[in-house]
Amino acid sequence: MQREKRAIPDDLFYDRNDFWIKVAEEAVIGLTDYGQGNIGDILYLELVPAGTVVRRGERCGSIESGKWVGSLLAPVSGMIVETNRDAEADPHMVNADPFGRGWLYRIEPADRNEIGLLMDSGAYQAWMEERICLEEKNSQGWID
Amino acid sequence: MDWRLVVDDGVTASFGLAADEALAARVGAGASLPTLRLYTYQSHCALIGRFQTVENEVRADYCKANNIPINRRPTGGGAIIMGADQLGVALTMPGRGEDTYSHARELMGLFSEGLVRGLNTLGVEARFRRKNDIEVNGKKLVGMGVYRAPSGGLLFHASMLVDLDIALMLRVLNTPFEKLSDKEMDTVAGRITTVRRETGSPITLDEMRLVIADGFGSAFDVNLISSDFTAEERAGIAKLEQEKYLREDWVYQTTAVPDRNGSAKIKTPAGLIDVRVTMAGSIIKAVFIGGDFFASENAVADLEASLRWHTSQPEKVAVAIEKIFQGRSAEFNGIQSKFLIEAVQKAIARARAAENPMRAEPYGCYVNPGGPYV
Repeated sequence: MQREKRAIPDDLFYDRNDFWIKVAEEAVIGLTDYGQGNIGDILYLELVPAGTVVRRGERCGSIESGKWVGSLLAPVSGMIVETNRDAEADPHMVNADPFGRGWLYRIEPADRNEIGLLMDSGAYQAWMEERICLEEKNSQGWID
Repeated sequence: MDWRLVVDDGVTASFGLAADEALAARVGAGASLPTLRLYTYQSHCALIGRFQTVENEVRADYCKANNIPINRRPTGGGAIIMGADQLGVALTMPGRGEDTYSHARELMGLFSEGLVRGLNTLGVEARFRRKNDIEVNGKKLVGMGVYRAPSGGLLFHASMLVDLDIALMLRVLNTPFEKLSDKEMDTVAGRITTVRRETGSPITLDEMRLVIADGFGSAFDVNLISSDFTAEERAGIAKLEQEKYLREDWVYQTTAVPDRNGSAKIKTPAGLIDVRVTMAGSIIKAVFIGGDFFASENAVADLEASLRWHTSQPEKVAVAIEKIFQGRSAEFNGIQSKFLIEAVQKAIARARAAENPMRAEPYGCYVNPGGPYV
C-alpha cells in the first residue's frame, strides 16, 4: 500500500495523541499531519473556552469526523488563552493546513518541566512509523 | 474472555445516553468490565448527533406537543428516533493507550461484523458500508457511531431498525421535503429497511437480542455473561444524567459550523433531476436525489450513501459518482452520470454560496496565512 508522506516540522514538540506543540512564552497546540490524516475529514471541532485551566491529559475539546467523536486531550497543563475560532467555524482547516491555519489553541504552560515529557521530531517520526506498522498488521480491511 | 451482557428496556433518553457514556468512561479507567448492552428506549425519543443543532434536525414543536423527549448523543452522525422497535446496541471497551484512533477503527470492523453475523443468521444479507452504516441491498438498516471517552474508553453504538414508523419519523425529524405526501413517504421507505421487512416475520426484540449477542460472541470470540449495572455504576449514571443529559445547555447547544443547504434541478433527456444537499462546513452531510427520471431505488440510495460524509471538492464528487455508475449504469436507466455530477456539483456550489460571507479580517495575529506554520 502506498503510504502518504506526512510532514513533521523539526522545530516543534509532539505528544502521543498526535498533537504538535510550538513552545515559546506561550505554547501553540495543533493536530499533526499524521493525526489529522488518521482522524479523517473533520466535521466539527469544539474547544473549551479561553480562560479554562486544564491539566496534562485532560479533555480540552471534542472533535467529530464522519461519525467518530473523540476528546482532545491537553499535551501540557496550563491556562488556555486563545482558541482558533476560525478553525472551529471551518474545521476542514485542520485537515488542509494542520501546522498553519488549522492550529487549535494557545496555552500558558503551568509547568515547563512537562515540555521534557514531549517528543522531538525524530522521536515522533519513530513513534508514528511504529504505529503505521501496527495498523498495517492489525488492519481488518478498514481503509478510509 | 468474558464480557458482560446487560439488557434493559424502555429507558428514558437521558438514562440511555448517560449509561452509555458513563460505562465508556468506567471501562476506559478499568473500573468496569467490557460490556455489551442491548436495550430499547421508551417510545419515542429523538436523538441528535453530538454536534448537530436541535432546530436544524428536529421538529421541536411537534415533539413537545407529543411528549417526545429530545436529547443529544455522545456519538456523532444524524438524528434518529428510538423506541420499543429500535434496538440500541452499545459496546464499551478499553482503548489501547494513546493509539486509540486506529484501534477504534480496527474494532469498528469487528463491531459491525458482530451485527452482520447476527443479521446473517436471520437470512438478512447485511453488509457494512463506509463510514458507519449497515445496509441491505443499498437500504440502510443500522446506523453506527464511535465515541472515545477522555479515559480512553471506547463506546461503539448502533441503532438497529427492527421496525420503524416512517410516518412518525418524518413528523419528528426535519427532512428535505417541503411536504409529506405518500410519494415522499415511499421515497424514504425506498432508502431504509427494517429487520421485520427483510425477514418477513414479526421477530421480537428478545429474539433479536439473542442473535445479535451470538453474533458478537462469535465475532469477538468472547463469552457473554448476563449481568446488570452495579450499584456504583448506577450512581455514576445518575450523576451524569443530572449533570449533562437532563440539562438544556447540553441538549440545545449549538455548533460553530453552520448547516448549509443547496438545491439544483436539471432537465435531461431522461427526465428531471432534483438534488438537495446539506453540508456541514465543507463536508457533505446529506444528499437527496429525486426527480421524475426512472432508476432503481437501490442504485439511487447507493449513490446518496456514497456521498454522505464525503468531501465536497467537485472533482472528488465526480469520481465518487462515476464509481457508483461503473457496473450499474443500467440501473440508472438512461440518466447519464455527467448530468448527475452537474446537478450535485451545482447544489453544492449553491450551498457554499448560501452562507459564505467574505472574510473581512485576517485569521488572527498568531497565524500567517500561507506560512509553513505558526
